[in-house]
Amino acid sequence: MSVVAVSCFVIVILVTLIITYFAARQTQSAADFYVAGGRITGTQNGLAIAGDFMSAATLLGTTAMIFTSGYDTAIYLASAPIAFTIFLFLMTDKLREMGHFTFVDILVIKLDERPIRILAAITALVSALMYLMVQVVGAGALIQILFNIDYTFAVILVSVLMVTYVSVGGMLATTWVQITKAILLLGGITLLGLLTLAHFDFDFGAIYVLAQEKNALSGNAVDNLMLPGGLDLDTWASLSLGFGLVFGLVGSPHLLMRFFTVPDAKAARTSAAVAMTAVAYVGLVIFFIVGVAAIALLKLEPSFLDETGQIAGGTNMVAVHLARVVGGDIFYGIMSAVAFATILAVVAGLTLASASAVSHDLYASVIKKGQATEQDEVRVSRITTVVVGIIVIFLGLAFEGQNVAYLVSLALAVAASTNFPLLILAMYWSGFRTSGAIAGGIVGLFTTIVLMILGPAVWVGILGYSEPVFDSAYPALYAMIAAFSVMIGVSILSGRNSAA
Amino acid sequence: MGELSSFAKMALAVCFALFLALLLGIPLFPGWMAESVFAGITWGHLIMIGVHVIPVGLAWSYILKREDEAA
Repeated sequence: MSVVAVSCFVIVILVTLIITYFAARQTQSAADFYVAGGRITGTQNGLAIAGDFMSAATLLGTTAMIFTSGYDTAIYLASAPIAFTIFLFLMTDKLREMGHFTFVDILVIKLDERPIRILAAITALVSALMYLMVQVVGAGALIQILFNIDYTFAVILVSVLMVTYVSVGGMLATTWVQITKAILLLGGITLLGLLTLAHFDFDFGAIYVLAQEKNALSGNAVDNLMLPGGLDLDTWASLSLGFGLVFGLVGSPHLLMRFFTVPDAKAARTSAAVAMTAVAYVGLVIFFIVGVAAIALLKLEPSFLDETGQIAGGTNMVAVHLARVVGGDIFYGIMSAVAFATILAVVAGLTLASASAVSHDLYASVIKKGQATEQDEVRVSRITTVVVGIIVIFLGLAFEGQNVAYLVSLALAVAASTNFPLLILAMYWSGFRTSGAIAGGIVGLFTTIVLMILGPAVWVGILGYSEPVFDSAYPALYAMIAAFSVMIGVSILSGRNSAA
Repeated sequence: MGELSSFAKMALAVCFALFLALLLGIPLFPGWMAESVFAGITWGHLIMIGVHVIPVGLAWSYILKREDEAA
């Protein structure tokens, strides 16, 4: 275990706890707890959104995917700027105009409050919990590899830190943890790109020439580095993966919630643009420099292979291995700490979104029918945070070693087929009815879960059957079409019935 | 959608067209995507640059336009 890595790791934890301490002193009301009192500036919120959005999958997962599957990783990276395009042009003004604490506030302006809050809180909770589980499973494995800590202890450590940030410091602490992480990630990826280019004497073409040679020799399914096909996607799978990622991100409660932390629509628009710029920059550096350099410098190199001939620690570690090759042990330690900070920021945002779904949408609005005091609401939120932390520890331990990429796509598919259609129809279609929202929301949720269970990932990979019942690993587009069709169809029919 | 400005509609159309070019190019036209345009840069690379750079340019233009309108 590197001394530098441990030092950086401890510094990250100390800095985030100090932030939480100061944030806690400024958190008095429910508005402070949920949305930092609406006092965050547009630029700060943009960085926080970037910090909230870029999970360990962005830094470690996409680099690993370029390493194994080449060009097709472009779909994962390109989905982020497109998602922020939708946020900026379609949603920011409406979110600020119609919402307060959570996206469900917008739905209940036109629709019946009680059933909609129950449905939306369930879908928000399901998608946030699944996303949280993925992050914690990934975090446990990462910390275990980086610092040689037992997996169980690593999962408990991450969960305790996330509960502390959220229950003590609320949205203000979460925001500043996310801003700190975004700055660390932007700085880290810039330095990694520059050191990589310096390693090749700033000859950009030399990276590609060496990567092409290594890729051709490694026996990959696609021997040309620039040729798509590494993920073996047919047209429908490609569309379903891309749409699932884009609309899943747009429907993610933890990202939507961030647009309520700024004072007005202008600041919300600036937030979306700053976040888009940051994620587009990171995506380009990963796609054009880091991923290709990882192929050039790590493929077929015996010093980075374990006894089975695979990359030591798994392919998710290629970005960190690359940091060691181009920057030595000190930079390896810094990038390890950046990866850790990345996970902490994302789990904090997801935990706060889960707590808000329970305390604001279920407890205050449905159970107490708007009569709960602010103190009660914040207290329920803090209790929920602790309960979510405990659930996440158990889920993290139960799902140790599972394929986290599929779990991420399932979490995003739930958001894409429930939260997104609910929100966009509530914002832009005057004919949207409660009956359509409930029927379509339930259809979207169940279609996603059933298709994922019947698909190759679960039916073959986990349950052990030889052939999947549903032949695609990417159910989002099917579930979105089903959800939109039912929402629109039932709304039209119930509109006709009430008119008659 | 009638309340969206023409700039916002144009920006959404351009960004989605680029994204669809990527989503359809990968399964349907892999050879074309890997074809070199100049200096080893392929059509696939150009689409990837476009899908990252153009939305950012449109986003900041939109923000400046809205600020001008508000002033």
